[in-house]
Amino acid sequence: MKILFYLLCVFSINAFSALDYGIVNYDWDGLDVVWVEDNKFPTYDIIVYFGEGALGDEKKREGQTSFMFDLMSHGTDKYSQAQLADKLDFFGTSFGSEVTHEYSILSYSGLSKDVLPVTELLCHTMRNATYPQKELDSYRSKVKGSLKNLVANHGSLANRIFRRVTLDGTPFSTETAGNLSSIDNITRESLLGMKDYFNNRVYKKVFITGPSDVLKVKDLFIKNCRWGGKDLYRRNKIANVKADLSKKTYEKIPLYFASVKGANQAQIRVGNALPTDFFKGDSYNLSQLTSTLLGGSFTSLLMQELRVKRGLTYGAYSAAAPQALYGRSVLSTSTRNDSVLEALYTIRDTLQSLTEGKVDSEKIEGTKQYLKGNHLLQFESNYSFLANLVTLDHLGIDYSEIKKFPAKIDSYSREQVIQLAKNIFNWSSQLVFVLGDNSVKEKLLKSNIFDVREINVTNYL
Amino acid sequence: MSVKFLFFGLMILGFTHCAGTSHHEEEGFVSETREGLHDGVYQIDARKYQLKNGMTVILSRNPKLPVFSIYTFYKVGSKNENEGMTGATHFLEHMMFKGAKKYGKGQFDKVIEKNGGYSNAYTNYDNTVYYEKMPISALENILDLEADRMQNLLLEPIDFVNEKDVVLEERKMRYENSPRGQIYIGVMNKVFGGTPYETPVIGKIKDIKTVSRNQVYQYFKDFYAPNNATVVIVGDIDYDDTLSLVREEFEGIPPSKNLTKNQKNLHEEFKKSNFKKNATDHFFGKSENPLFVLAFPGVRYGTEEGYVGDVLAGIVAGNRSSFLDQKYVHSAKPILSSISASNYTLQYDGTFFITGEMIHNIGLNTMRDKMINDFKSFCKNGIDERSVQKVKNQYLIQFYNELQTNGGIANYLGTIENYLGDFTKYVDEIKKYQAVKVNQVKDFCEEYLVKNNHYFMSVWNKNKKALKI
Repeated sequence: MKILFYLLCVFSINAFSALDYGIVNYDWDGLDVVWVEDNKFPTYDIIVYFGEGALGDEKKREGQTSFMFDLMSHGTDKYSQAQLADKLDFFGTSFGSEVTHEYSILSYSGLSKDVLPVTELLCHTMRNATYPQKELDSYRSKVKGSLKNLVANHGSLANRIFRRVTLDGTPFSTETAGNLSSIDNITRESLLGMKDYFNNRVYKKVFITGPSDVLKVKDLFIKNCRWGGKDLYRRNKIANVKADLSKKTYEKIPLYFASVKGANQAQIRVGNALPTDFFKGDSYNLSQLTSTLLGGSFTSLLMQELRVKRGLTYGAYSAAAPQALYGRSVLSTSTRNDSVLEALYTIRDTLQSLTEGKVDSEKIEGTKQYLKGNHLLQFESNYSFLANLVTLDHLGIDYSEIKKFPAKIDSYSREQVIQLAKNIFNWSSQLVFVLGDNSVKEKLLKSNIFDVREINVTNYL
Repeated sequence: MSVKFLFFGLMILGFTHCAGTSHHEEEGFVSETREGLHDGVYQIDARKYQLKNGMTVILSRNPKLPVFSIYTFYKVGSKNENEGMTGATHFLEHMMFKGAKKYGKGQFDKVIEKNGGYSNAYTNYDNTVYYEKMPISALENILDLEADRMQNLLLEPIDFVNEKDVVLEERKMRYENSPRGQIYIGVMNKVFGGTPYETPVIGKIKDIKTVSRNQVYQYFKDFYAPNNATVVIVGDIDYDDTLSLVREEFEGIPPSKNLTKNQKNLHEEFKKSNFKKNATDHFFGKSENPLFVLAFPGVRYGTEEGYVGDVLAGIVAGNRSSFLDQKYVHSAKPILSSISASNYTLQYDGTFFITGEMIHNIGLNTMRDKMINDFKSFCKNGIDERSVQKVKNQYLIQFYNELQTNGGIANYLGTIENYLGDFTKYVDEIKKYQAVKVNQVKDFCEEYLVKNNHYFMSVWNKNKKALKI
């Protein structure tokens, strides 16, 4: 590990691969495995990547994959929910799953001396989960309760609605966890079917970090999980999702407004869907540089204009986030009800100034240094390092890109940054969403640059 | 513990002891722990020094990556604020990023980011902590930056006014518009009523608006001094070189002569607590589902009982197999969507509280009574060897997780230093957790959750009474 990172630090691209020292690939009877050795502590982290995500949910049963993972430890043919909880808690196992549209991960960690019993339990639950009806009903009722309560969490609610606004009409618009009506249609049988599909037909890759002792899990993955095989399905390699993410420009910017009674702060989101072409080749790293320059750090353009100069907000950020099959740009902030228009105009002016090239080279160079340094910092924790490998793998990007990142960032010209900003953050192709008290709507209607469309929060739960 | 692991630990012990002890004679050396498994506890390679001006310095070498984290702890929190100045500690934290004499207005973040780093801070009831996470090449520059703002803060008037708006927006985001934030401030106000912990760390709106530059400047002068600070540096450092750099930057800063007066002992203030009788409040909040907190008076940080309380919290709630989780969240007909328990220990006082969100409304007072009643049998019969061992295992993993990053180590060591006066006490702390016995947990449970007074608060959009925070 250490050698790898020293080489990363000096940003050299040597003829030999520095990565060979830190990352080892295995084929365990058809199951791809990556091991990153770390002997510092007697602990391990394991992430299992599944090449399928929420796009595999049946129609009108959105949330099915999330439910399948969340409920797999709620009862098997051998153990009850309470027994499984007791066993996992006893080992101090941190156990979780995450489902994106395109892939899913199952992650767990703990003391390396316990890796065998915990992995055995994981394989057992993944193979033998029975999804007891009472557990399903109980869990569904909790998820619905949380969804209803989203109206009290304005930031999360705004994120949820804005996703739908920007990706409307594509398979990516629905939240991976589903919605109030879709989760009502999830049945035991559908979960059992989904579990079999993930066990037998979906591609998996296991990412492990820890001392070499942890590799003892090999037999369990081969014999108990039985996850190896050929011709397994991987969503990112089959472009069967045809999403219309083509860019439009608007004479009047569409502004979607959702009213939340009594809110004393308005949430603002600006952005749009992006074709994946934006993230191919050089654009992947370049988009990180451009969005960081705009709103990825404290000295970013948006933070300076909105917070430092005007005191309009506590925070503002921007991101241009790629998946394998789609992308999205988002600017996010919140402000006082009486300063919504000022904040929106400031965002507009900041975007226009960037896309017109009115940004000094020193600022761009500063952002490059910031990105390069922070790139290194994200590899401090083992889990974060593994998670990075998972993302690269899913996007089909070679791990060597980790090493090349600093040099690539350095190589981008001012012109390239501004050109990409024009493609992603051009003001006339943005969609705007504001969530706030009804009094905010009156202010928005007075502006002649927006086409204000009111939407109802409850339709988005 | 496997034999192999123990043996590996002993080998490291041998090696580090042979590595030399010359730093013991170094000027200002106070204490250390050495990397490896000693006495059954994994220890960190770290050394503590005291500069001539009273500043505490903790250095820890971690060569995994060519990066470092620096955490600067000031022993000043909202507990030190006087009436009319609530929120001043947190507001000053914001202003510390706005420029000092050498690195003027707007320079701080530029220097940090140009060096490829990240910086932030947090304020709580007891401490204010600033941190930077950087490539190692920036060490000298960052020490210069920290030393500059420790002694020469600008508090530029325009920034001072603008930043008040920023803090007011932060207040809305974290507390006013968040039912969880609302209930947190509300409960702390009641539980610590009459003591310096009763006001929110972020301050009252009126005070944030009216506090003057002069007041904040005086507050800075009162508390921001080397003899009130601990600087912790963890990363790919050389001990000798780093200590020299720290001396060069900080040792010339004069100590505050009035610190003892300013850092007055607050024990008397905490005797004024008015948490005496069982009470319940139901307040209006924007939550669709009722949120509640059931709080009990607790113990302060660092007491023997505090560790027992931590273990109890893990048994009561927060893990899927915990008592209240199984009973109310994972039952056939769940009443709650989530539940957690916390043994919240601060420098002078503490509270043990349970937070839950209801999805099946059986009535808030009924919920409260059921839970209080539950504890009577739980404290007697619900705690056994396995449940105690389970939480101990979780703490051990948490400890290792904390040590994964330089920032985690720095924050951990600095916190122990600030609360217990010596960072090496983390070793005792781990031993104390591992030594907690079933009977002790049962006794704590009986004493604090059954015999004690409680306070219950709910926040829900069907409640009428307004909660002013």
